[in-house]
Amino acid sequence: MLKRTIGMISLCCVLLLPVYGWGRDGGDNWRRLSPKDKENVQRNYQRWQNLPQQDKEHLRQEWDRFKSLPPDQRDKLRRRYNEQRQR
Amino acid sequence: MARNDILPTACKSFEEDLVLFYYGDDSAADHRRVEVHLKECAPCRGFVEDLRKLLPQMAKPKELPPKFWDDYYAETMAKLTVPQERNNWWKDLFVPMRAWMLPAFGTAAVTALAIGLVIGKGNWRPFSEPREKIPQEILADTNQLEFFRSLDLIESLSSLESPDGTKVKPMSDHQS
Repeated sequence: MLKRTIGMISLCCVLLLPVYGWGRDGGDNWRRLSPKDKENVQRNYQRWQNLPQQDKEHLRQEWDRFKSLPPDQRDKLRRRYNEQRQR
Repeated sequence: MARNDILPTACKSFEEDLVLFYYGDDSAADHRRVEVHLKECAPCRGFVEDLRKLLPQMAKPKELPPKFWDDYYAETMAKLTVPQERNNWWKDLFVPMRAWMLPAFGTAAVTALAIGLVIGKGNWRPFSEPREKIPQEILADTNQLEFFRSLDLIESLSSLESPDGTKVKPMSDHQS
């Protein structure tokens, strides 16, 4: 009985490992950000929460469209965005 | 073949009886019967004569004192015991622990590996250290994090894509 219980717990732990790893990924990515980026993300999040639902949906659509662009075009847009911000 | 060269051929039916006759191990009736036969059969007489000549020449086994056999027995037993002890001493050492050693060391190794991976990957945080309070919506996955990171850019996406490259105006500016 004890053996079976320990076996089941071990099996559950093994099955939960990928979930845990998936959960940790977000934390890892967050820690890798610079303090400036972290501040920017948090500011954008606060701003996002205050947006009307319509704008939220629009931005989601824009984000999906941006992700679907070819990588070189995305890089080009990022470069243009950074250039315009520095002006 | 060699036997035929040494001993003359005796009557086949008397060969065994002749040997017993020589040693005196036969019955009285057989003894008399062989004696009668020997008077009539020259080859059998020659066979018995040869037995009388040859057998005493054969070396008698040397009589060894009982002490020799005692020592021999003790020495043989010692030789048999030493290799057995040599093979088994380490097995005997592990016998009491064998039942729990494998799972225990296995568990310890897995635990050490897990701790090593956690610390090595930089996920280890002392319990006293205050943790950042980040909304789970941001940490949900990489896509979410990138979305909030690039929100300014997304807001300006249409103008960035226009050929004249209108100046970036984030949505927050419009609201304020």
